[in-house]
Amino acid sequence: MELLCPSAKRRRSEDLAAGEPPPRATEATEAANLGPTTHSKEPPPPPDAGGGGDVDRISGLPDAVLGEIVSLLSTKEAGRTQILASRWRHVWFASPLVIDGSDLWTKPKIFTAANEALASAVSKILSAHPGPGRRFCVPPHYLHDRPATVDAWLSSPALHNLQELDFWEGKHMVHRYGRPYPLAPPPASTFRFSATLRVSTLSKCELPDSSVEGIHFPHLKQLGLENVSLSEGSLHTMISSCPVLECLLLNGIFGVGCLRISSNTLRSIGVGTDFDCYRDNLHRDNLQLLEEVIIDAPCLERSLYLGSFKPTNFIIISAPKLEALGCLNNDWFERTRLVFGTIIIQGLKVVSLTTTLSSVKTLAVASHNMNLDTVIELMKCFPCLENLYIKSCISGENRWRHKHRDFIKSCDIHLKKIVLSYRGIKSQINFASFFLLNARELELMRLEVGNTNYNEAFFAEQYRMLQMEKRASRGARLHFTNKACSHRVHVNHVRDLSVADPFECME
Amino acid sequence: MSESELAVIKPEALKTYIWLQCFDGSIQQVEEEVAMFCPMICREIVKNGTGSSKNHAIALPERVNPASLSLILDYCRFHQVTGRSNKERKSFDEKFVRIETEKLCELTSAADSLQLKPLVDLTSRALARIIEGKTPEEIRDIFHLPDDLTEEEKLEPLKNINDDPRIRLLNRLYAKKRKELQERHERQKLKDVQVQKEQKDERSLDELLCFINGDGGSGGRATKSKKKNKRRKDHAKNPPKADSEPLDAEGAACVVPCKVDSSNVSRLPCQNPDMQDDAEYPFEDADLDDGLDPAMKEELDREVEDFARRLNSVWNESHIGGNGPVQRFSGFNHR
Repeated sequence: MELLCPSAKRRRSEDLAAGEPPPRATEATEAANLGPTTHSKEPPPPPDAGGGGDVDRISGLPDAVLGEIVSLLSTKEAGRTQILASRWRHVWFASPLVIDGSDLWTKPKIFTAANEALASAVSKILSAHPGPGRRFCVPPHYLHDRPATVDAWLSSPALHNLQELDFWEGKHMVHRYGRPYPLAPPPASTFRFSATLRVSTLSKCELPDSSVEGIHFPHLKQLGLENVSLSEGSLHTMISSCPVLECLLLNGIFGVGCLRISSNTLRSIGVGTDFDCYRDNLHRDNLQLLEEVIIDAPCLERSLYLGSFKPTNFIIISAPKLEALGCLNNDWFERTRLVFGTIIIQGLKVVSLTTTLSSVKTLAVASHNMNLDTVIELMKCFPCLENLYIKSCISGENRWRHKHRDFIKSCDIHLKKIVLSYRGIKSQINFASFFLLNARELELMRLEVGNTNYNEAFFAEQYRMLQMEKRASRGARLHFTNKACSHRVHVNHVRDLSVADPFECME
Repeated sequence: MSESELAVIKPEALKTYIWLQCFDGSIQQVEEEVAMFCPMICREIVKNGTGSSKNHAIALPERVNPASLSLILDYCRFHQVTGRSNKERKSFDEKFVRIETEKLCELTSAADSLQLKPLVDLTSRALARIIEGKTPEEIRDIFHLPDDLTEEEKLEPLKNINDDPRIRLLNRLYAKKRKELQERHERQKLKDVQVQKEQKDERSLDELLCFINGDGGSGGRATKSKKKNKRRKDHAKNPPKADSEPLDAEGAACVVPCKVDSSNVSRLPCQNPDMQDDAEYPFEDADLDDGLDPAMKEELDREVEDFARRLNSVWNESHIGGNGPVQRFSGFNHR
């Protein structure tokens, strides 16, 4: 196989031969490693552009800044900056290394061949780059298929001081084996970066108790465990080894029935089991799904449920800053039970309510029999609700003029945004018009319609049927979209837990 | 009086101003709390005591031109106010970097020399967004970079990533097969086709295959879609009986042990190959003999054959449509 950039290496050795120390690589390495941008020496003046006012103003930036910019690009594009101009030839080498397997995934999608190509590309890049590492992301099945290779990669100097480590698939590389394979523990070198890791995802592996003993992640802010088998003790050990943990994603973990988490720094938590994780692991002996989550987190802002195959209990002991909650679910296999102080919500039914939760501003709900009565009861729990996402179809009569006139008179509805799927049937018209005619602060009602209804005639008719001229909030807009949102919660990677509104469809 | 008391009662008139001098000689004054937001200026004031009067203005680094300075001061002025919400700050930042690319570069440079890291981060991200998704030619054009590399130098890094002979071979075979299938598809469209009565089955191919591959235990789950969290109101209520026979061959064929050396029992992925974006994939009609040994070639042939078999069935399903016939692909001769 070819060596990478022989001329770059040649140049560096020429520099050494001339007696100069290899300046840029080490300087930038140190600069990039430290927190603040220690300002760099004045860079060489930009090359003479020749004609007119077309001056190259970017090449004049110091190496550290250019390196930072390059590290924000996708892996392929970052590598490609080497061919932009002579000034840029070594910028990539001096920038913190980002290897994202999903960027390098080549066609064709014949799996073994693409896999080989990716693995060899990763090896090549690692052997060429001096480090330090910023992010390393490869598919989790490598842990099972080629553990020795993964171990070698993680031990490479190019990944020195790695900040983000993901064994993660991403949607481009999704691979489903015909037969589930045994989950292997990650190589010990995975924990080599404990001192510098900020973000980490482990998938499709097993974490025996011994592997997590004595670990410590002083800077880890975001942790994702997807399709991981581990004991309850190990999970608690892992979490408590992260003193600054802000986002925790547990998607399809096995072996833990109850998670108790007490954290002063936790801001966002997402739990669930997606179908593929579940199916791939049906054969396991300890198919213990997460059924109960007990949270004591004074800084918690988002508590997210990604769906599962067993009802899940959420017991929130303390979360005074909780702003986003959902998706609360009433379907039998993934029903949620939320206990928050004196509030108990079973499915979507408010069983007990003494004091309300005024911090919650965003709520997502789903149920096979979603109707207005249910929603109004929930609104009584969350009086300051601003964003409401109805993630299933609305049914029921939804008559409200008489039934809910007390509620309308006594409570201010602070809703600003409502999103629901819509066909124009009577029950949905009643539902939607309740909010249009009574929510005085409403800004947006987004109706997700099918393609057949996505036309001006339909919009005009609905405008009339929903009595928009009599709307309570003059600023309210009716927005139709034909992009059906198939996800209830938009969380694929632990990074998504830091998004303020995870129910909003970004596509 | 304590510092905090002073801070509280200080009226507008008593505000302290700091004097800054750009490299071109121009001097301007700015409120102290705004200037202090910049680490470099802050250090000058505290350590060297400069900036308190016009004659002792702080000399700013060469890379800070007046236009950039003005932008930087706007940034500082906004962000040094404590009461602002994260949303407000984010919104300000987004608007702040919507400036001409040239100005953005100058701003980055100036922010870096003043060691204002948050602003350097912000502008770097903006520049990365500009670069992202563009070809090298476009990038050179936008930033007026000199095109001063030799052709050879330009090819080196690219070759290394994509230079896998197996990939090239597979690409060629893949493109060839696809062409053949396309032609067959065209011919079939012209013929009179027998319309088989077929149950409209909305599940993806993947689910059905996986059901057949022995996940019977999941029962009702099998009717769920493969996509994450996708929920359908109208689950296909019909059991897969009707389709299981013709698909048996598919299912069996899918589990093909390919590799001999490594431990995985892999099979082709259960997903619809993405047709559209392969069209532009280049393949040269050079000789297929890349020096691969016969065993590897055979393995590859088998893979492509399996792949093509699946390709055919998926093509039929998705292109002829749910009401059309499901032509079984029988026999494939690629030699």
